[in-house]
Amino acid sequence: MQQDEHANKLSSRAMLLGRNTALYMWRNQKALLALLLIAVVFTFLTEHFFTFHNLMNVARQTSIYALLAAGMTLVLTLGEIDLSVGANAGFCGVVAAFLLKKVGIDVPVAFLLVLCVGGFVGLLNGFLVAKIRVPFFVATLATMSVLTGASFLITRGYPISLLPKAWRLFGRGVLWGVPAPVIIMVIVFIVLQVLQSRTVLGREIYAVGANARAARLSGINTDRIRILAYALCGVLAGLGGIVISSRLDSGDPSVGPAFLLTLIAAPILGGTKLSGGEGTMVGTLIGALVLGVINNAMSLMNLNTYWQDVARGLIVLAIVVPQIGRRRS
Amino acid sequence: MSVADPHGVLLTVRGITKRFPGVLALDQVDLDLERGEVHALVGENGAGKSTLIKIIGGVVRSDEGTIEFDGKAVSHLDPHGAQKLGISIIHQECELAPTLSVAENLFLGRQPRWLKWFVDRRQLHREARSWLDQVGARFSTKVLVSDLAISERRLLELARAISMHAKLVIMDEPTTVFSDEEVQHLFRLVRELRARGVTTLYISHRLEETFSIADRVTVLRDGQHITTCPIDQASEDQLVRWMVGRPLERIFPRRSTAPREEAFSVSGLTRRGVIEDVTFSVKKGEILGLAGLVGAGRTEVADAIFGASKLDRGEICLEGKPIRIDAPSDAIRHGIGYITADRKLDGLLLIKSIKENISLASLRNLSRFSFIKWRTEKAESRRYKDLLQIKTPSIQQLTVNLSGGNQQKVVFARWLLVHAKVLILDEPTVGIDVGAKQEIYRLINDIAEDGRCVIMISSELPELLGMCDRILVMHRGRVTRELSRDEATQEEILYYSAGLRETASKTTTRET
Repeated sequence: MQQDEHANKLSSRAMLLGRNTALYMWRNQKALLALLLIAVVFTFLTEHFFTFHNLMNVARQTSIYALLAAGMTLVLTLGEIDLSVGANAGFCGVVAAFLLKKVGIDVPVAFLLVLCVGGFVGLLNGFLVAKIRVPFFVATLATMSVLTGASFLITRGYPISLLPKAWRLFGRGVLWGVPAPVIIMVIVFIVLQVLQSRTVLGREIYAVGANARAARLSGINTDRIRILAYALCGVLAGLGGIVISSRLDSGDPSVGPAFLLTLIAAPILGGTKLSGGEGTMVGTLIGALVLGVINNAMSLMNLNTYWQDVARGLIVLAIVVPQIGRRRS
Repeated sequence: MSVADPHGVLLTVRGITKRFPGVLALDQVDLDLERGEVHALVGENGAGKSTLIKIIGGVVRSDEGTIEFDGKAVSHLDPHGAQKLGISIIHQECELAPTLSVAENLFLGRQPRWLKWFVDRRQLHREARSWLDQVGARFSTKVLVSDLAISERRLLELARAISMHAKLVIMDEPTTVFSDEEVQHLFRLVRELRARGVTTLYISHRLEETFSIADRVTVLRDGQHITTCPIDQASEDQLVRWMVGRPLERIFPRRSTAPREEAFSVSGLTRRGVIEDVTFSVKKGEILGLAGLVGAGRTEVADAIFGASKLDRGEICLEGKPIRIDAPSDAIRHGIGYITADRKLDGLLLIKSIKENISLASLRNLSRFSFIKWRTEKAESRRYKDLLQIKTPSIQQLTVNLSGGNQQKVVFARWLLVHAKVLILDEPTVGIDVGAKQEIYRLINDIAEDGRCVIMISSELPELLGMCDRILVMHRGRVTRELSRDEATQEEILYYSAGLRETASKTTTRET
């Protein structure tokens, strides 16, 4: 209770400062502090952590998760979850490889087509949830299963490798020492942050998440907003799929679904509430970076990957449990 | 069990103090409840009533002070322990499991057993029936709670309290959603409880209720105990003065201008089984009241006009032109605003700022190329915050932190900002304390004087009589009577809402 009051006071005080990026950082101070703290600890624990090369490595590894987590944030802000984001990204990567390699489509056309495929999957999710009124959990879980199966069917179980050289740009390109996925991530987050805090659509997504009935009675077409949020989430999954396939230089049906936990954990760590109506892109970015740094550090310490899974699960619980306590009081 | 005197004191509260961060919610409060009395607890919102009953019910722990119940000192109570002792709270917000049946709710956690592990369903329903009969509830024990009307749920909660052999029943605003008839029924039950020696602590914003039911009254103000006295030693004015600490002017301010030309009309509104052939019109600057019992179809008329529910038949005209409304967005585009009865459920974005709540229905007008003009948004929100005197340090404050009256003003501001020509108000003063109510009344009058049409639904008859130019009475989905300001009396409205005089209506409701 007291903590809640404190948080309230903090957030209202922060609100007084006006809506800008610095403010979001302040509101997400816990995540930001965690990020800095972890970074400092690992700088001392491992000799390779605080090097430009490794930091860029972290940023690049984070970028794929971050792109998908950004889409997830939009859906979480509605108070819903898209369980199919990871599978959608994996599917889009496979579709990209298939189009490039088996159909022989040009790189730019393939790029756009894959974004459309991802968006279409999101649109379908949104339609199921908003119009047919399938509970989001069931709808997106079903989509996830369909996409995962379809990915294996398209590739007959094996990765489609050796994609055209130009395709490598999205995942392996480097500009002034900064990897292309990082540049993509930064651009996407800037665009989405503006969308969230400055546009009517962003505001309406918040409103639907905070109180869908009130939003509807204030003239907002809540079905349309939900469908749009899912569709945008799908487009971002498509973009994620492009980066993944480019990075791996193949369309691998086995990547994707395993991302799910990280995709939910990053936004929550960044201040997005599972109950909807709250959350920011900057927060999600910080959350993704925290998880990225932890992953990187665990690798640098040669921690066995299975232990890494265990650790990730525990970390997510450690983040979510205090939130639940707060909601109850 | 207890050896205490049957007419003596049941509950003694001494020196209760409770601090919340930054607020002294209760400051050395004393309270004595006698066996078998009906004790009213009154005070404005934020006076500490809710905190006090939460402490008595074991929901919240006090910082200082002692409680003695039934001759024994009790400390560190939890809600379950309080129930065991015989303290039952009927909360403002119903605390029932909506997906379980009436009988299951009645015996939640203490169902009659068969072979220890199984519920004895036959006995469950038999016992449930007998308790429900005691409170005069006629609904089946097998229906789901989600299918009950809110007033029926209250009866169920009361039955539960009685079935637990409560010695003290605490009712927190039990009548906010009740029609007058239902209030009378509740009062009969409370009197029966009193006859059986059960004590009732009754909290209500409606002072006239306090006078008709209570034996004694305790007034709290700003967390302090102001006075306790027998009800017949206090007048309504006196009570209000104690509550607000200042005398109030006339409760219902008068308007200076008369209604002008007809601007909004509906005819033949029908939604099968809910509303039937509802026809009326409202003039510019007029306040039209909709009276009736809960479930008479008043809210449903509002929902239908606003496009929140579908109509089977009916026409809506604005300024002489028929308009088509399929969704709330259509209604808003035509300049119709709707303030719903439950502002927390379907009015406000509680976790969002005042600014975001005020601008919610006007985002299109406040944006360019779908980018929100945030300076304009801020300026407009601030303007309405000042205009309606919403008490807050900043428009960035979250609405959840505001009092009921200020929250309601935020909703009003939203519809003023869209320049609504027709404003539908459903129970606009529910859960708002006396001082703030006045401000809301003045606001409604200002809106009418401004030449807008106001349709006001209310279950508080004095409010309707004081505010409205005309009152339509509804019964079972139909308009049964139209009363002008001069002919309207409480009795008249009650007769028609109860359906006791229906035949006379058919000729009078249809205007030519």
